[in-house]
Amino acid sequence: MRKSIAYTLRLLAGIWVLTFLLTPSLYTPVLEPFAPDGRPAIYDRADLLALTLSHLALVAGAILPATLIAVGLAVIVSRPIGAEFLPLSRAIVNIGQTFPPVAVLALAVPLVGFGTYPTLIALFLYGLLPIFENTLTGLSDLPADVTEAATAVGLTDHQRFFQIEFPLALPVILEGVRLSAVIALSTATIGSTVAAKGLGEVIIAGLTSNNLAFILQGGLLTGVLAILIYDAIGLWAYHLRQRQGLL
Amino acid sequence: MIHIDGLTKDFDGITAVNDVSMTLQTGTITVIVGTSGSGKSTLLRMINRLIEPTAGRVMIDGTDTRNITPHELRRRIGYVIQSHGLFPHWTVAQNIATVPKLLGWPDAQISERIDELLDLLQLDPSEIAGRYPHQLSGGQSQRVGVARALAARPNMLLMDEPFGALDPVIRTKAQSDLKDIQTKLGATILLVTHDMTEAIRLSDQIAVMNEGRIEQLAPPQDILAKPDTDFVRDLVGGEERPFHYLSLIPVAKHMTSGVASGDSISQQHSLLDALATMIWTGRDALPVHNESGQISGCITREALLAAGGP
Repeated sequence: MRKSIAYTLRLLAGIWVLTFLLTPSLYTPVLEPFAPDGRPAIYDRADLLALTLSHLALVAGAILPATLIAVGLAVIVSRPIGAEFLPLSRAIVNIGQTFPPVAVLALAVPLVGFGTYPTLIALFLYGLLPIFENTLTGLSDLPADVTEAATAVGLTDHQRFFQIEFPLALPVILEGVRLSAVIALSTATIGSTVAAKGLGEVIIAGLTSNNLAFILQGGLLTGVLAILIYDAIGLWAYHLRQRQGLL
Repeated sequence: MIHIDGLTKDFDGITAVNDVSMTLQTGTITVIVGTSGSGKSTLLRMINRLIEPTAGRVMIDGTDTRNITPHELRRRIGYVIQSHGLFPHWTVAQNIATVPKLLGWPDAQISERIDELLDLLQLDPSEIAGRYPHQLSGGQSQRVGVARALAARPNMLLMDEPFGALDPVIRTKAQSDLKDIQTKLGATILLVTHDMTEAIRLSDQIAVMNEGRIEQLAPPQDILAKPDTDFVRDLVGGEERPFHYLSLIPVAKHMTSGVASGDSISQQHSLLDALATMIWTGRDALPVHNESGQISGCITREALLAAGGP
């Protein structure tokens, strides 16, 4: 019962996002009271659908490489051969996390210019830590009897990693990706301060022109997308866990 | 035939296994009995090189295991542990297929083998093969663990407390099933346990281990009747010793020609079975039948009690 309510709510949220992006004018009556007199209630300086897609592309463009690198790094330092590099790797990803994205933007703009790249760099650095730490946890918390059995049946180290250890750690790794993706989705809004295309543009336009309707639609779209992505990755991890009998 | 020759393992100056030598004849069950910390699991793990020995060697059919790549050696030796260690993200069929897949068997042969093994272990393939390990009961998991170990027809099986997690009723059944499977397949089995009853029930020879050394290596009758050391005497010397002893002797050995009334007992049953039947049915003698079901004699209480001591 509670499950079906949750699914219905997600479905409704998805429908809301789609209808809002495809025919924003539908929602004009709802947003009009929040706009100053005579000002547009729906953001009109760019197509909302295009902004949303480039927002999502920013997130994907930062989180996919962050996942590859963080997982790769964690895998290397979790092997005996790379164990020495654990403190160093941890320090690097920690710096990525402690450095505020705004500061990264400020430092990156002189190097790579305005637009997409400084935002990608900031989101990438910010996304490393949760994925790295979760991968390490996932790979080190494996049931000892299972890893022993994997060796004892005659899997090579390579086979044991790809067939047993990594698939078993995957739900925990996905939890890290989930966290990074959601953080990136909300943090990407500040990318608009350096002219990256995204939903931040709508919020900033609302702030500068004192238009609450813009702030609301930018904020709500970002928030609902974050929830949907969080749920989607969560659902994936849930199914993997369920199959492994962890639930 | 497996020769264990002077096997020793030091862990940071502590000797877990100390100069152990023994021979396992092909097609026999050897049970290592010992308290926890006696080094019995370490000894077992050195056979398939999960642990590398500090000194000594293991020869399998004349080949030194050090000359075989560890993963290739392990594919030839079945391995069963108490917590079964099934891969939780694979179905029962995939778990059983692990080693045949590694050895590159064709798919048709693998699926045939899976059905064959599930049948052998009295699991219904159509019901069990597609399940994930967490959907199995303890007894089923244990049997799937054995099926996985047997999948590629290894000549040797290593078992570390394989029945330790089962409740007593299922455990007894699992033990007799293992004995049947062993007779059918003729595998050489090395099994580790702390349970003397289990050791006596299963073994062709028992190695009693204490503080890294073998205290006595002998057939179960000899361990019971002629314990070499105080440790072995303490281990087998409880009030159950006469019953253990009776459990090892078949009725056929002490039956006499005579007549008794009531239901008969097979001459392959143990004297302990006969005693239990006598107590339960209040009789002093039981008729005995042979393999073809004909009455071949009788077993009397006097003969039975006389056999129950050294």
